[in-house]
Amino acid sequence: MRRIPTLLFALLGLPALLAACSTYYGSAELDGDLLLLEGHGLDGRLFMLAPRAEAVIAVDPITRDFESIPVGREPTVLSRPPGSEMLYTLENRDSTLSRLTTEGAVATEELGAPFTTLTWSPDGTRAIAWFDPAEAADLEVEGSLNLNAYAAITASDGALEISPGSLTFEPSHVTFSADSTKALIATSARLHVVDLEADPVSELAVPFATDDATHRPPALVAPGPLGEKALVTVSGVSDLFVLSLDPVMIENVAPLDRVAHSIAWSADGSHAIIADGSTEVTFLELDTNDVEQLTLVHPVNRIQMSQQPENSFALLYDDRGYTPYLTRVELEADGAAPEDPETYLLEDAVGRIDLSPGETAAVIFHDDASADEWVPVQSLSLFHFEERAPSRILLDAPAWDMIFLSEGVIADSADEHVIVVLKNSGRLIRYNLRTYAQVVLDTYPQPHAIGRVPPGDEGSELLYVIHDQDLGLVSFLPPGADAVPSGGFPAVAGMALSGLMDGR
Amino acid sequence: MRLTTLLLAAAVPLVLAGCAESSLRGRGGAADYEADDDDYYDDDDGAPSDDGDGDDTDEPEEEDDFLNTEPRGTDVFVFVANPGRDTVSKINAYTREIETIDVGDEPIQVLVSSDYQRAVTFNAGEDSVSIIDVTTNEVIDVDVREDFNFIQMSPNGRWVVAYFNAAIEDADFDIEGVRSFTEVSFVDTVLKEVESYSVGFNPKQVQFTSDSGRAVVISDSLITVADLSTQPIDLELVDLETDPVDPPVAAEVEITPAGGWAFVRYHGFDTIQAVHLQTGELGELDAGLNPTDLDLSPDGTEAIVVARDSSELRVFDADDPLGTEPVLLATPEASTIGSLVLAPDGDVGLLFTTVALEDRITFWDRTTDEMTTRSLEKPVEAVAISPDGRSALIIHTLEDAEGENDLFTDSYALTVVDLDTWLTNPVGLESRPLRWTTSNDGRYSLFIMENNRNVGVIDYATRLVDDVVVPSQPVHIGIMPLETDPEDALGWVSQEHELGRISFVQPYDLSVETVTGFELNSNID
Repeated sequence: MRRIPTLLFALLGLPALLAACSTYYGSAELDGDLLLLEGHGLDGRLFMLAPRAEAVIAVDPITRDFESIPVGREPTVLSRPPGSEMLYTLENRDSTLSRLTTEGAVATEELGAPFTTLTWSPDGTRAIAWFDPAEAADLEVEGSLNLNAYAAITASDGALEISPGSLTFEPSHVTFSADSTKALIATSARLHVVDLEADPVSELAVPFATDDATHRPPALVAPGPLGEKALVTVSGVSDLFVLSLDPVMIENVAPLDRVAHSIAWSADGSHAIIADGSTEVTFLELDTNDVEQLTLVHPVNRIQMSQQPENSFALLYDDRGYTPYLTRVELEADGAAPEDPETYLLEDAVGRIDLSPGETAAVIFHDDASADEWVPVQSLSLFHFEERAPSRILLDAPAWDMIFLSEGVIADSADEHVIVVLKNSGRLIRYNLRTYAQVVLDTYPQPHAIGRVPPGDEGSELLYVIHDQDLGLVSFLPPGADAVPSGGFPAVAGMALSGLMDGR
Repeated sequence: MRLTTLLLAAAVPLVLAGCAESSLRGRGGAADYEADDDDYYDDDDGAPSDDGDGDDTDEPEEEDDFLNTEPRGTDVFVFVANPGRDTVSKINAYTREIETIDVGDEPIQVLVSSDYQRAVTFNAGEDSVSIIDVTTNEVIDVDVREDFNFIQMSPNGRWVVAYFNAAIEDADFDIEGVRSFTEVSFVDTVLKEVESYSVGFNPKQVQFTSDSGRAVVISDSLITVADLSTQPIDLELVDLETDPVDPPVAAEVEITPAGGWAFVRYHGFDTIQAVHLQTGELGELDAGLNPTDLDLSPDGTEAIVVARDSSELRVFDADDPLGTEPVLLATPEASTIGSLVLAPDGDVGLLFTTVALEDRITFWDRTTDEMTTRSLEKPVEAVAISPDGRSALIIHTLEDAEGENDLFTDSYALTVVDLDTWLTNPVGLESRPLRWTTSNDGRYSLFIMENNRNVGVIDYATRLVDDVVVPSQPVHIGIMPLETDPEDALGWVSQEHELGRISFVQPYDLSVETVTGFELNSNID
């Protein structure tokens, strides 16, 4: 482990400070794959992937030391399963999966193929490694490459179990049943249901056309809340397929008026809620095909569901960039269409909505697609569901990333807060989600991603900010920071070179 | 005129078999499949009251008897014919596993043998039947004569008789080249062999002796007795000696289980024709005035005629109908009695009319011949007695009796009756009931309604009637044969859906599980 003066590497990184931004919420990679602009906070340290150095960099925010943990050749993915204290990397050149402990121990398993993507089950114990077409386009073929291959991974405390498999067609999307026992892999013509509990792992492929000459790829796949079923839509078809996962079979094909843009389950699993881009939101009782429709004054193509059963509501909106409306509806316990929707007219079109952990408020990022180009708007809206209507706040740069702070994190406040990253102006803005009061924190240039570093054996929780700089720059701040300390927030720079220099 | 629901509706995309179902017909019907024979040479006009003799004043009685419906599924599988895809879907009712079996072109009907070993489809597109081994799914196709549209299966499941049934809805009478209307094909589904014969004009019904040793084909003026135990099949043609110019229309034919006698009731005649199927002996039985119903007792020893206009029942000795005087029983004169439904054990009969709007029914205790008239909420459209003989299901007309004005007056309705106590539960219905089926233990019935996705569930133990909703319009219903506790009863409801849809209903807990897309599901691998 070596300690490198922060200032030095901040200076080394200066040429890259003003590097052009990638697209909105854009690529996490820097040119040359020196360092991925994403991280995972674990056990008091921040972990980032340095592809060119073929290492995972662990940064200690207290000591500002960083450690380079070598992994396999050409790592492309650093992933943390939900609820896990482990990290995983996929290594393209070696076709391997490496598991890292926070202590730096690395265990590597052969996967048999240079998979590009690792998707974890909700409980974090199972994963599918697969070729995402968006990532696999640039893969170099050596000998032969089966893009239909996948690997089912079971991660127990002691060992990794790898079960290779191959699909008939190229996968396009992977999700899991709510109980994490089955993986649902959508391909260009089938939905494969992989039974991860079977020994050996088995799979069944569900077609959506009656003849092999017709391919109907699954478009939306929504596993049910009870783990028994999934809702599936098929490209270009306005039917909703209700798929039983045990046994695997199509239970129902519900005709819809239009092709679904977004589907969601009611909390009790009895209804599907369907947004099709029109002003009508459909509440479909799955056992009977009984339909109720909620008619709004604005089109809806996105459904943001409350995740807490006792506070069951949905936010309905359109994120295509030209609809400045948001509707909040309280959901009925029996899944039926709600009454008395609350519709709000916003100042700008909706781009993205995030619910606070306590689901007392939402943060709305705005977009604008009224011109030919779709661009993020330099504003956001805060919406406390009980206290006040959505309120627009102008920004000096588009909102880029955000992190919520739960109740009690900010001293002397029982309210939830959010910190928003303004990448292009180098600022962090913290908002009280009830009062909308703000605190502006200037930080180093090009803040790109923000996250949480849980405390290790000592210290307290910190937030990390990854800055978009070639050689690496990460700053740290306490969640309750009200002001920028003189000299700026503690930062570490130059991590991207660490592994390279080690290698030399 | 009420709507006539046919056993096989050609408009239904999927023909489904699996268990017995009964369908509600209009009052104009007479035979099992249709009322009228207008496409032939009688002088009638096809009106519902038509009895073929030019006199439409004596409207025939109409009855439905689910006890006579043959099973159409195995104890495990439900078979669905997919005419548009030349396949049969074999659905495991308990695991929902689906297999697709390729059969001949355009299978429009599927039957299943009583031993559950074979399923047979009639393939209208290529004039064949496909014989399916239920265990292995092996299929053997056997050609039959051209232009048929219907098959019937012998009780033991070995024989299938294919013929052109003019009573089928949308029956095709077009002639291309040469076409006969007198032919039948006998298919041995065990040996996979076929023999075809001409049996007389317009074969309209086939009945079998209880041992399946003989098939009896009823034509306009002939009865053909086919001895299926010989090879080749030995045919005996019995001339009914009816009017050769304008033969009367047989309203119904009953054959004793041993195949000794056939009894033929004609529209508009006050006699029953008795035909000895082995000797060809013919006789006329005085049936009273306007015999409107003819039934054999369940043990086959008696032929019972309901003479509506003389208000009497005539009970003939079915073994010696010409030599033994019938027993005459007067029916209550205050009621019009034109139809009889007997319980499976034969101890109980229900007497009623479907012609007059009378809101009563007569309970006939056959052990004492005592008749007791009971009032009902509405007039009777159809009656069925459960297999255990302890309950009855009475479907009512939409029209109420004259002068009645109560909460059922403007509604469809049915009544569940406990025949031991005559406790009743009249129930209003949103739509006209179309079909119903009853579990073989008599505990539950399911029924479907016209243009309504609610499926009625009747529990005869409690006389409670519930409903469950299925995803689309029901077409056929059935209940899997039950050999365990009533709680395990499992019904199925096939529905309109282009990919095929069937829901399984558990009457005990009213749960519903649906499978849609038979072809898609069968291709899951």
